[in-house]
Amino acid sequence: MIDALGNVQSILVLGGTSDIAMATIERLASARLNRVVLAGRPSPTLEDVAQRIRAMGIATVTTIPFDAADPRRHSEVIDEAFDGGDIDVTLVAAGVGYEQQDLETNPDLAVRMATTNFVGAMSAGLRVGQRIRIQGHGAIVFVTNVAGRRPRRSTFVYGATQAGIDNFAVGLGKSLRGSGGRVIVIRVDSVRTKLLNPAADGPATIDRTVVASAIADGLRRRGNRVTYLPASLRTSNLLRRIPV
Amino acid sequence: MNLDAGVAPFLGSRSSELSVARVIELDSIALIGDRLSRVASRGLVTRGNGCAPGDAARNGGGEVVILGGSLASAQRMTINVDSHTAIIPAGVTLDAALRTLLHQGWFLPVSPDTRQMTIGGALATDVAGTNHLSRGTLATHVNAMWIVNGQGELLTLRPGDATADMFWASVGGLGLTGVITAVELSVIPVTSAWVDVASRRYGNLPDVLDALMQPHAANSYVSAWIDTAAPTKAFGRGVVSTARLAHVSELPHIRQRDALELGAVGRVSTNRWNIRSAMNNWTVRALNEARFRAASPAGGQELRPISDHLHSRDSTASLSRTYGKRGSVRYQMCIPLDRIDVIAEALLLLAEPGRQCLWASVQRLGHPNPAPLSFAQEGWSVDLEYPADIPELGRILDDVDESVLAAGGRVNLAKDGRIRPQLIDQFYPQLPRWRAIRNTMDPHGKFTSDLARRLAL
Repeated sequence: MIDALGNVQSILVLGGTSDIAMATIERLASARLNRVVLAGRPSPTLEDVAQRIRAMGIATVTTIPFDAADPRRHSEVIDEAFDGGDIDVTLVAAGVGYEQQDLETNPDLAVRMATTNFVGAMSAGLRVGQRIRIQGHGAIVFVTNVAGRRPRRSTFVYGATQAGIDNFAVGLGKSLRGSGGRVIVIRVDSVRTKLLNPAADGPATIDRTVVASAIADGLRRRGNRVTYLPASLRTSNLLRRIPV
Repeated sequence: MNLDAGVAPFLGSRSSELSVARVIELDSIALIGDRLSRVASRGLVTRGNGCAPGDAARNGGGEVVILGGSLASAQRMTINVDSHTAIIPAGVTLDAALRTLLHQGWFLPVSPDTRQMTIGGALATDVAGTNHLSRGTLATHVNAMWIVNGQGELLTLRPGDATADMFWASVGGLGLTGVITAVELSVIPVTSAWVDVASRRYGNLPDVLDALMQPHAANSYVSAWIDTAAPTKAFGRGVVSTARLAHVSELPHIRQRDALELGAVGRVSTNRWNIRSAMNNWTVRALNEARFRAASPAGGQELRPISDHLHSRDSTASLSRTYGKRGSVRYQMCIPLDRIDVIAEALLLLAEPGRQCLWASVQRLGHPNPAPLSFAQEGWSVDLEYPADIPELGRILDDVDESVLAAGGRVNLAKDGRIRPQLIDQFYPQLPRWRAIRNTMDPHGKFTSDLARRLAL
């Protein structure tokens, strides 16, 4: 259970090697966090992440093979995680990014990205939602990109996947009302992770620890939440709505 | 009748994460047994009137049983005037029970600070009143308890026979040993629903605690309110109140005719509006100053209705929104008499600017009862309520937990929403014994709650 002050006892990470996930676990790690389930593609990196989390003193850290681009196995993965005990928070952190030029010249790459970022996250999100309804409580966290809010020449393919998952996440939150479940959506521009191209580091680029803090803050409050990081993005989102 | 009331979201009465359960109203013992035979893996827990501030009466994804019909009807109460006892269905609230009892000149021997809870809930959380020093908890006055165990069998448990272990495991057992259906307990004769209250203010914490240490008449209701926003030089100042049940002849003539009438509750409600914005250092300081100055330094005496004085929580029960959207967190600790430093430490944390708290009370506790999960041990009880949005509140309370533990004290599980599961065994050293008895009463683990899951009870 998430306790009265927002402390979490168990987390499921879909995309176990994600830098944002690691920062979030570091932020939420407390004497109360006793179970972390990392779902990701089997790799030495995944085991390494699990080892680092165990070193934080968390009692039970397990890994489950998970491929966001293979929705047929998602049921099995989500059931395995929830059958081991209540999951308080599910962080959907699986995603890939490619250069826009490569996506335009190789549409297969775009399909793969859409399958991982959108289809995979939607499939897993719906199944997690079903399990949350059964256990009567729980939160799902999606980190989406504002590229999905405003189509740009330079990012429209990636942006399309983000628009899909963002809309899905907000809608899932609405559908979970009254079930004890809720959805926290963190909309970012770019985050300093191993995937970030250093050339893309701009004024709206934030550290992953900022994302982790926003997630922790969302968990302390009640209900569905949408948070922009940095907060100034909310203003630019409003400007988008002004007719020109 | 088996009323399936559908699903409902349950918060604690204060701040907590939301969880949703299927609510089922059951009005007979047979239906409880039937329900238990069909309960799914997420189990069930009985909910009284939802007074627990934490998650003791919630069961996310499972079933929450509410007693109805004859199991919650004050008309089914029976009073034995010869033995001074009453049998009360467990779903009856203390409010309804007291109205029936007072009508015939009887009163409960122990009065917690709210009478909105049910008799079953009062027993399952082993409630105490401000007369604990002389009267113990409500369970101390119980002669028998009827409970449906995990196998659907109706058991009669008594503190003085072979079922004593199960009786005491169910007292303070948080509804995890069975569904309490009725209780037989001693009642005391009264001639009025009024108390004679002597209040006196003291300028600092040692003086307040000294006053509480003074000998008081038997069956006095003694407690202190502490001003958490007091200036540094008057740290821990407060008002000590001593009350005794008044005889009808002491009342003014005009009051004597309705002397046994119980007053209304919850006269002030802020549920429809949020006055957190008005709660700042200045307003809390002013309110506390007024409350402190209202008591005389030389001591004053007045007659007050029981509902105003003994059930003090009821007049502010609807004020939880005062603490903002995130509500508040209750924290009640019990510590040995010689560890007043721990009280000072907890109050110091509240004294910081921005940590306004309207509720802080201290009282002395007497001899404990044999219940393994009973909160009340001999020493001090400190009951605090903090706004949940204080920055770093979790870390601060964790530190207080450590001090309470080091002092040999404990934290009240019935009011908890946040303690670390690792500390439970240390706060409650008899927990393994309680688990063993619970396992005999509920071998298949049908009774569970959010609290039980959170703390791995």
